[in-house]
Amino acid sequence: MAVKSIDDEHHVVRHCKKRLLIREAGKIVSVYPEAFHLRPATEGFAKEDSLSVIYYEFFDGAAEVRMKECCAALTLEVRPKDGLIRLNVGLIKEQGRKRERRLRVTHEPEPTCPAYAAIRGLPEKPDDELATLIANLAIVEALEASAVI
Amino acid sequence: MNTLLPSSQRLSPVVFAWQPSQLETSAQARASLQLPEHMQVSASALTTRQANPIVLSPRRLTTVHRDAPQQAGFEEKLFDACVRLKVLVAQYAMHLSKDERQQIFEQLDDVLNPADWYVEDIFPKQTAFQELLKWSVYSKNYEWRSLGVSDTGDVLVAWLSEAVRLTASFAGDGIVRWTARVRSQTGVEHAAGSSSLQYFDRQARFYLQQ
Repeated sequence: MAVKSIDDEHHVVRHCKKRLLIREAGKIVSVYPEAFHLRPATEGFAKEDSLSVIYYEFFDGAAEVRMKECCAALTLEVRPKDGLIRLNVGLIKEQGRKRERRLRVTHEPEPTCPAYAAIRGLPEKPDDELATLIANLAIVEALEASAVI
Repeated sequence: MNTLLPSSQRLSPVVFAWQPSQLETSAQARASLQLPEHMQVSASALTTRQANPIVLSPRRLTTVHRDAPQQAGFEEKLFDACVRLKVLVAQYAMHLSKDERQQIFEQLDDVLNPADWYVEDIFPKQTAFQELLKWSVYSKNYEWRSLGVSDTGDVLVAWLSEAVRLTASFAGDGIVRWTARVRSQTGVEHAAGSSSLQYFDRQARFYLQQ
């Protein structure tokens, strides 16, 4: 399947490791802006050029079903205290415009993950202001993985 | 030596792992680390003496004993990383109340729980955590919550109130990268910046008094 832009009204889900979540009284209240930084090259991984996400509306059904499917679509073994962060595509792009960046959110089906999507256009050198705008204004839902698995 | 306690019991007094090059007594290990008396020492990764048959000459076979550390699994490496950070806290013990020290230890135990980590993750940098401690002592601010770790090992903390969400990232290079979200009478404002450790004290005070 070809790569397609995702509609602004739709959503993507980003897996967020526990160490990047902000919690108050045990409940996820936000994520650290670093969750939206492109990872530089490490010993085991090449540097990122996009943020991996899952296309929420790729799946049908009620909200709980869609989130469960998004979690199942992840190619790693999700830890119970990790977060599943749902972001609105239009709001992601709006934060990019505030920082004069054209962000793209594209559905890029892969054989191992037909719901794979990506947020593209983020700078290689982290833009903390952009990251905090995304963290504070583009997130519509943050769930702990244990509530979804 | 004391046996290692499970993480659920790792409260005061602190029990941590020590990897001596040869077996040492608790007192010797404690003295070499200059640890307070209340810190107990246990060995989670003892050295073992291995017998290696080595041929020194065609006519004589002899056995040479050498010390070799046991292979530490990922969980042990994470535990050791946690211990090293707790030892850093101990170095600043004279500046911390018992409650503040306990709070930091609990946050470390929580963020460095092996159940939450992946093999490819980078552990928090000691230099980064040390700068967080230095800043906290300098600013007398231990109110940060939700200790985190970035993909590159930077140490992350957050302050949360009704009006303000302030985050700070300590990379161990003398600079703090911070972001702020402030609900004001005019709406929601966002800001981000980077400051020296010293100047971040002023930045944090400004935002936290909103």
